Amino acid sequence: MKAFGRWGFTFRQALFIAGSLIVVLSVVGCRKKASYEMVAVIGHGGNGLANYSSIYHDNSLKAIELALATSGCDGVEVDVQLSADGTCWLFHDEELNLATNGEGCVPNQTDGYLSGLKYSFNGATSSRLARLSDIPSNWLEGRTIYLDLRHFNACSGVMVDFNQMLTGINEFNSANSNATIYCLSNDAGWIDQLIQAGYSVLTQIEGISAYESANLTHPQLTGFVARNNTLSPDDVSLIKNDGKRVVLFDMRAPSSIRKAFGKYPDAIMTDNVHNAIIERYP
Amino acid sequence: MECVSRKRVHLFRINLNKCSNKFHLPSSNLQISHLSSSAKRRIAARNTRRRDITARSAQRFNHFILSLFFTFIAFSPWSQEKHGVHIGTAWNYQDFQLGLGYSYRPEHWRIEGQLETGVIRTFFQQRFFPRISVTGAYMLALNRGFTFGLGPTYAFSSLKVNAQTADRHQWHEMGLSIRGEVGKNQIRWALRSDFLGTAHRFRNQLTQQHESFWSLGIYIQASIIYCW
Repeated sequence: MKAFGRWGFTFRQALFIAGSLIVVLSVVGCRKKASYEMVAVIGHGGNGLANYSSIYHDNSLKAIELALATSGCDGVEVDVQLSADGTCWLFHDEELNLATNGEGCVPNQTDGYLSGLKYSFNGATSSRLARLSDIPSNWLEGRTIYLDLRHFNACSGVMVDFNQMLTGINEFNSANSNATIYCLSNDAGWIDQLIQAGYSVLTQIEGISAYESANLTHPQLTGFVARNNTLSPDDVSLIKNDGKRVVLFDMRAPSSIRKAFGKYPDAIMTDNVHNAIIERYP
Repeated sequence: MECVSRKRVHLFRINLNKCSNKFHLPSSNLQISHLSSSAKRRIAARNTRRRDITARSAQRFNHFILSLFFTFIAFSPWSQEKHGVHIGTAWNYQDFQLGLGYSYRPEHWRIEGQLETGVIRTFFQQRFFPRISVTGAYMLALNRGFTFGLGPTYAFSSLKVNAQTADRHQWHEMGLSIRGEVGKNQIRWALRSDFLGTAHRFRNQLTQQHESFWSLGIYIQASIIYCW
């Protein structure tokens, strides 16, 4: 009883106050929310990028499976890099040592080397690097996948061979004919060639002014990807009125997810799939 | 054996307040004042060596006694409180947890059950996310100021992620719980850490079957306990 004496109440009173607080907050918490069913939920890097509360590492097969297996998740976004052997691998960072037990960059390494690597930070479980072709076709039936194509080799400072990348994407596309595939690229040359190859292409913008210039340069673009805090609801509405898709990313907490939903984009690319699905359905 | 006055002993930097058999002279009928200065130094050096040996022996003995004492304390059931209730906050991969619990505390054992709720899910997303856990622990160190122990734990939590479907996500967690308690009075502070194998079970939309996703998890809890 002494510990709480200085605050003027006993332990039993403190227990009662804590219990009452929980009950009141639970009752308050039962209020209804808005519905955002028309906004698609996409798992960023599978089940969330750089998400310490995710149990699987981003771009791993388990993370992709967990996201797609969850009811209410419409698809995933993955980062695609080309190896020295011309195979598409799923990896986010520029250098392998930032997230795996390997060295160098994906474009400089062979398939044999990459297949032996494991993610060093893996949330809670051990997982290996995956190829784009490792994603089973039945996972993506009726789902959406965003392929973030990395065009630059940070180790050697040169561009990646587009034709080899296109070959890899074409193979993936033919194996997943029931999936909706969007390509993300920030390279002007790659955007034009991907559009010519018949793909729906999106590019990243930083604000509404960047949208106007990008839309003038590439009017055939399908849509735009932007950080949640760089576009206002009016900006999103303006872009959608031009017939372009808007995908927002960089949101993890419930408040930022709610804020993104409130802008009514076509999709949100979230780092916490569970939080987003809970917010999506009241 | 001769008694040596305090003043003279002080010259040899030996502090004795009374006559003692620890202070030996070369001959029992010889006064120390009659000795030469070199003889006095030899006697003083020898007595200092003897006293150091005695002190070291006493020190070893004290250490032995202290070891016995602390061993006795560590494995003795000092605490007479058999019951405890606690409120605490915790973190795991799913959420921050806030909960209430009861523990039965017979001597070295702690049998505990607690009910928690996920703070973010329940209060910020309006989706009730309960977690129930049962823990048994054996306290290896047990005294009035500090207790430490470990034991098995099991926890179950459930969440309706998509409110449009009837399916609920369930987490079954089983593993090792390590805990420590600090405090002498009825109110104590506790810190607990669980290392858990987790089965995240729900209806897989890819296979349309209930399946489990396995992983390893960690759970850290700080709580305040009232014992009686």
